[in-house]
Amino acid sequence: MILKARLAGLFIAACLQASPTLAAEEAQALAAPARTLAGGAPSNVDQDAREATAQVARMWFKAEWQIYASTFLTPDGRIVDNANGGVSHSEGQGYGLLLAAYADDSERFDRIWRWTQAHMMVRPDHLLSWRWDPQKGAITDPNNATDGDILVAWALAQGAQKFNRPDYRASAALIAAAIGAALIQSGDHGLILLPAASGFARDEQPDGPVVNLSYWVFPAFPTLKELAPAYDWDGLRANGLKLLSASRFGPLRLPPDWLALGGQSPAPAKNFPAQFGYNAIRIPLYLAWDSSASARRALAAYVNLWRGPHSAGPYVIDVNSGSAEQILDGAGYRLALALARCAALGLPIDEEVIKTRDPLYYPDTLRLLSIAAIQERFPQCF
Amino acid sequence: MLLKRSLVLAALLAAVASAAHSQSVDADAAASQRPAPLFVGAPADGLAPSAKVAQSAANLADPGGPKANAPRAAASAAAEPWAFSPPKPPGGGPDDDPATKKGGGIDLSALRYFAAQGDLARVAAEIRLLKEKHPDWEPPQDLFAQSTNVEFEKPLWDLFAQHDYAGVRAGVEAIQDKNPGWQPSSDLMGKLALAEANDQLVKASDAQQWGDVLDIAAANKMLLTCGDVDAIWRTAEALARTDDEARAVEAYRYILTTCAKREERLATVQKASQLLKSPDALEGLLRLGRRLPNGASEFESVRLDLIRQKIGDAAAGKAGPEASQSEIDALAARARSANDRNDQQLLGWFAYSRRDFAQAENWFAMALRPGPDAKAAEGLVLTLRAAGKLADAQKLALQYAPLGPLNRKLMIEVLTATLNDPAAPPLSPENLASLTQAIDEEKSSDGAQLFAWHLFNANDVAGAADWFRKSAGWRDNESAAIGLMVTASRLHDAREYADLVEKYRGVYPKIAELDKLMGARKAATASGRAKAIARAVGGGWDANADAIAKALQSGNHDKAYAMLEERRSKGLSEPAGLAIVRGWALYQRGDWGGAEKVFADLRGSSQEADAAQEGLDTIKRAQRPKWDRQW
Repeated sequence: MILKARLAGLFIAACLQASPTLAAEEAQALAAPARTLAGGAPSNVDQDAREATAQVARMWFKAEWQIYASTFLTPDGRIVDNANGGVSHSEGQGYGLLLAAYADDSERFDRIWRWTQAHMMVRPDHLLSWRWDPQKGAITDPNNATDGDILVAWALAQGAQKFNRPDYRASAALIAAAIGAALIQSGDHGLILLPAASGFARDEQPDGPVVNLSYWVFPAFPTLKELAPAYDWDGLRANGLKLLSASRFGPLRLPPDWLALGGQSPAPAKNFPAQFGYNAIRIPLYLAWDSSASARRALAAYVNLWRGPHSAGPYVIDVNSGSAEQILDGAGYRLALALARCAALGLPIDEEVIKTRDPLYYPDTLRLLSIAAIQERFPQCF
Repeated sequence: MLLKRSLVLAALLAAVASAAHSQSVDADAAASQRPAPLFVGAPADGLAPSAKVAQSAANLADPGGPKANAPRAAASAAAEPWAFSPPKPPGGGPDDDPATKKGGGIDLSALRYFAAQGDLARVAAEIRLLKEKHPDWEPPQDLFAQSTNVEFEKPLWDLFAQHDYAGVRAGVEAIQDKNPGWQPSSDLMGKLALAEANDQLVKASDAQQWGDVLDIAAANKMLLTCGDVDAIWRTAEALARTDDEARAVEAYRYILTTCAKREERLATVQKASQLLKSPDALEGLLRLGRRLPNGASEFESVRLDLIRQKIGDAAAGKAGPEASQSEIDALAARARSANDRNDQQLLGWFAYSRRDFAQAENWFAMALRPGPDAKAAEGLVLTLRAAGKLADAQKLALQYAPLGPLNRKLMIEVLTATLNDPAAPPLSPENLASLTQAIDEEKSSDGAQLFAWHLFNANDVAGAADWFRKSAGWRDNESAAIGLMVTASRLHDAREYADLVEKYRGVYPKIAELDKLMGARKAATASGRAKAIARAVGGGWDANADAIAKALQSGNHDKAYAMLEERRSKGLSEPAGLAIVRGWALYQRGDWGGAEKVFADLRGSSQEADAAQEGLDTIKRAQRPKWDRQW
């Protein structure tokens, strides 16, 4: 079972009502995809400003990475999830590699990879066992987590390019191929990405197969395609976007963390809470990062959530009732959504959200990922 | 930290009084207190880490730009350190001062300030502006390193604030283990190096390793700032102690022309006054004092302290620079205008030491005006006695006796000395009662034997015997022993007499002589000679006289003579027996003329005529030519 409940938080009973104008606003958001800058043809001045901002964002990201690494990375290369008993998981290792690559930190990148290789690559199929427990000093679940595999492969490919290390690319290719071979499946609802090699398939869940839409790490797909061209990553990507648009439930029209595809139409998976929560909060981040037109269209579903400076949230939402259950407490969650708003609507991001550090691994990771996305794609949001 | 002036003065006064009054049998407890140094080193300025960070940020700030937000930089941080350097080898090039080098001529202070503040938008705007002005310029990649370091270094600054410098070094290594390539901020490492150097400097200075102090200071010039005046003081001391007074003066001058803290400036001239040998150099430093709102100089108090030191030393008979008349006048003016009884007393003792008894009386009386004071009272009584105003001395000695043990001892001393002095006014029965009560309470051996002789001379032999016994009981002394023998003889107590002779024969030479004389004339009556000895002893003979006689007997005639002079300077009587000692002391010193005069004067004295004649004969024999003597 790969349920990743991240944080104990504050339970909020507040019920968020569906806005009657939601659809209209979405339409507006889609109509203005290019309002990322001041509008009009970019002048030299705009170009200079953009460059300067991008430069600042890059430097700031590197500085933040130093602090992040000193907080969550052990000297031997292990990213510690300090809200979950200090365990490490393939997702965390993948994020660590990704951030190190974006920070041009070859030394740490290599340490994280060597640790990951030595401790998590224990399966014969080149997938990573997803959880390592420092209490046992060993893998405590040999199953994989597909998002972790994708993140590690994507990051390794970036590291190979940045640090001129063909060996990283070779490993990345092996992992990407393993994902393609074991986890991409075709079914009633098109190409899907199984969340793990075991436990989620048609015959393993009452309403299986069950997927996790936040495991479609959209910005990674072009790289995965290069790494393992034998597999239909474009189809997988397109079907992910289709599933996203077909899986919006309740008054807030949000997708659940875990989606069942065993029935006629997609539904919240029975064995999991019907929640838009700690998993799905990454969907807008990945969509924004992807920044293709189709991804931006999908982003429209998230841009009006908890919008405005005085809005509370984000919350874990019961997708059926639309009621808020638990606050997603951390600047990283807010930043992921702010990034979505900026990518889609050109709304600037409050600097405080970018700068507020979080003491916990998961939200601070989301914050750094968002900054990485900003410095790479959206310096104007800075 | 400045020692309170009153404390210094108290110690000074105590030392002076004890020197002036060495005649007092017991040492004054206060006098044994050595004058404390005027200062101790002030601790180095311990800025909190946050303040340091703020300060360094402020230092980066563009004065025209973010001033409103910038924390105010400490004034002291702005000043250049004292440019101390080891002596330059001849032909050495100019100093290579990295502080004067500018990075490419582009002013990055605003950029760095915004970065330190984490004001990303303004960093971006500033980069754009700079690029407009300098198209080829690229911003430094470490712009936000400081904000990273602030995070990393928080615990290190905490250790730094606790002076755990080894802990900081270990912490840096621990962070580097976790973060390869990470470098601590130059701010932290610079301050750490300085703090460590400061520790070494203090250690070397405490161990009086002056050469090491100078090496450390030369290698760490940034230590020598107003933020760490103690380091400059210690360097200056090392220079002064290695006879480089010129550069020690430079160091003090740097502080006085650069640093603002009032107490540190004051302590600087005080330290200079202790270490510098040249009065001119010190005077030059004192002139750097700022004018206070009341018109006085900042260092007036130090100047006065220096005068007090000189005058105090002179009063205590210590060698040292003499106070000029204008300095004495300055202190006198202050003593009057501020009505400072400590200064008044100090001037009193000074006048007393110069035998200017009129002035001394004046100052002591002034010091006593606000109310009784043991030391001032002691000074006044001693002054009156030395000035020959015996009646006044008696009166005030009695009046002030209750002020303290020293005053009571002085009362005993003054009154017993005048008891046997025909020139002194006789004591009333009440005063005699006060005297005997005080002698009893103090167990004053000397007082008891002198009072006993007074009774003996008044033919109260039994009363005299009682007091001689008390005197010998409290402390054995020759005068009491003789007194006991004489009284035993007069009271026909042969057994007692024999016991006394037995007991004292080996102790006091005069006992055997006396016994021989008395035995020859059948012990029943004291012979004229015995009486003479007794009277000689009784006439103002005291412990001090004993000590002088002993000094002569042991062949130390110079010491005996010095003691005689000292005794005379205090206005104490010189009984005939002691005058004989003076004669012999002069003779031994080769001053035959002086000796002859002393003996000649004594020939008329009924008490010591024989001894005086013997002295004259000896001189006459000695004056004969050598060949004559063989004869």
